[in-house]
Amino acid sequence: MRDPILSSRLALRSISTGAAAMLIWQTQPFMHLNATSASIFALTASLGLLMCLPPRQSLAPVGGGTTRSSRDTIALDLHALVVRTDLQGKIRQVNDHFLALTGYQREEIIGRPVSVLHHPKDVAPHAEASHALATGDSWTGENRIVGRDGIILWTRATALSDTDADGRPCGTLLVHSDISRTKESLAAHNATASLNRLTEPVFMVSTTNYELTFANDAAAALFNWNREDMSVIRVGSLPLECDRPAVSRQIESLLAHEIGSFAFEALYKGVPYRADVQLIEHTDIRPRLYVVLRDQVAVKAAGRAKDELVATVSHELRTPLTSIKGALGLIRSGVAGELTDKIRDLLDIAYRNADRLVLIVNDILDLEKLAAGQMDYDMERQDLIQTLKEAIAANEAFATRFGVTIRLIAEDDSAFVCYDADRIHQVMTNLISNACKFSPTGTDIEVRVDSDEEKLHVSVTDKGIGIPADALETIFDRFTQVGKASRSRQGGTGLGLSIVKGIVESHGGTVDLSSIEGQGTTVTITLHRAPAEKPAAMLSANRGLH
Amino acid sequence: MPSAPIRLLHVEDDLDILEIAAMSLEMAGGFDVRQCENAADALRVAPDFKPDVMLFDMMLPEMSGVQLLAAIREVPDFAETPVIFMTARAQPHERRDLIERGAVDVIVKPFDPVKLGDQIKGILAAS
Repeated sequence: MRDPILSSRLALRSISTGAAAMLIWQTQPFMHLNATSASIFALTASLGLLMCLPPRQSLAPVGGGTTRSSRDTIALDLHALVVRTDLQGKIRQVNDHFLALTGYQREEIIGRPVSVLHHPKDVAPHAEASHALATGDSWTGENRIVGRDGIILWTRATALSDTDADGRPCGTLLVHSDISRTKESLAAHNATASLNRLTEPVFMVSTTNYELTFANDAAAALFNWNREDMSVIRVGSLPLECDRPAVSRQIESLLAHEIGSFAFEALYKGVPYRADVQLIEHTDIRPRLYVVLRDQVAVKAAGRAKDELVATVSHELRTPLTSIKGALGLIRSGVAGELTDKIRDLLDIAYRNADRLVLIVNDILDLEKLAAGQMDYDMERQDLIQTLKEAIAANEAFATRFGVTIRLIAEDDSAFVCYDADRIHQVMTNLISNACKFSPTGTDIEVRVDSDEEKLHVSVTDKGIGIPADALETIFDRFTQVGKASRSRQGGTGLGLSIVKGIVESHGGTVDLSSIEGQGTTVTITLHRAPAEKPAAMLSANRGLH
Repeated sequence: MPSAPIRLLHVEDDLDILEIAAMSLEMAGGFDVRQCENAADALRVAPDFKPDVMLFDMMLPEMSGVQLLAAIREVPDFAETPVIFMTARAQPHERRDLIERGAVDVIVKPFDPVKLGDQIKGILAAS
């Protein structure tokens, strides 16, 4: 048989003095707890099992109370952080455990709004709690207490409306269990599971004593670490050959938030590694250094494998394209007999699209090379105007097809720059062909060269459809093309501007684009003038060029 | 009196490309073409055919175009015979490397079949 139903309500007496708190229980008709259960409830509450309650447990208004044993109260007081507020939300009582964990002195926290303890990211739980209390319910959930000097404690909290001895509402009672450690463990557990799947050695180090706090399977195997007792492992004593003073300085900068991360080269048992170090300051865990080691031998092998793949793809795609283009070219030349106009038109379509495939393959390979820093450049001090003239001549037939005229406007007859003529020719072809494709018939495309003492600015301006303002940000991204529906008609790959940018930047230059929709577009590349003498000096200034 | 045709030994493992190149050179005129699918055949055919110029693919089975070049240079009759590579791998450093190894030039795939003959004649004239 079910005992008289109890409603429970916690109230603490004398907590502001640090004396043992007292639990007061009340009988209410709709809490399915008997007297023994009530006692268990008090204990479980004091053992932090309040979290087992449903988030919103209905509570009736508090009437007279029954004093429970002082042992229950002591247990709760030792375990939980307890806060009582008045009806205005000002803190009127806290227990010693609260003071011990938050670092506050009682006199500095009493009378302050309870919101000073709220974490800015806990808007939702506090709103839930307020709503529950306003409707006569309790609230249980997770939130953070912000202590003195910014200490953050994760807690499992229960909030209930508080009443005075006469049963009149007098504020809110808040009981918090500190679950920071549990949060840390959970975060570490989740991190462990995913990091253990990595083949690269990963470990974490405390920022206070450089004690190892985590090592994934790969790191434990590499360094022969016993993870049962990681606290005895000091990462500083690792037999890694590296520039230790430099690494220490970098760590200091990291901890001072002067840098976000850093990397250093290290040798371990003769194997070269690159160590990437980051500071982790997630709110759920204490700050740690997160270190990932990358076997440089393996990285280089992977790089070689990628090179080989790119070369193979290049060969495997170009070989059939050679046959397709070759066969179509021969038929078009009439070598296989007379062609009717209709057959010639169809062959032209096939040939143009075979050309387009070749361009796509070339563009993709170029982008791969640019991304990997493997684009090959033959840098020579030479006359840029000459290359511009050649590029214009090479694109004249294309311009004629679109009914546009290319005009070169240059103040000087010559302008010497250190560059790879083939690659700058490619850049100009991309820009001019883009301009042709998007220009109305009968208009001009202007290739203009402006210069100052140090730089040359080559701009290609069309009077075409322009680029919408919202598309300008992504115009240099791969496969970006304004008006995708027109791609097949215009014949571009959407890779051209990415390649232009990559090549020009490899020359130490810049690319700028301005456009007004409906009026036209100007793309300007800026390159440094080559010194009048010592072109070799210019060559060496172009870092990363072969 | 018409000049003697240029004897050209073409080594390429892709049968379609062999056929297209043969037709291109026939269309251009002035070539006597012998074709092989691999390096071993080329080394066997060359002494009798006595080519004036050799056109090698790079990626051949068993022995690459570069290895074939080294092997053919060992044959006294072909120590100086112009070798042109026809390849899809033609980055400037790859091109330089082939020329340093003794090739006279590199034709990039896909090639223009209408211009192939003239292209080869131009390379021979310049070398």
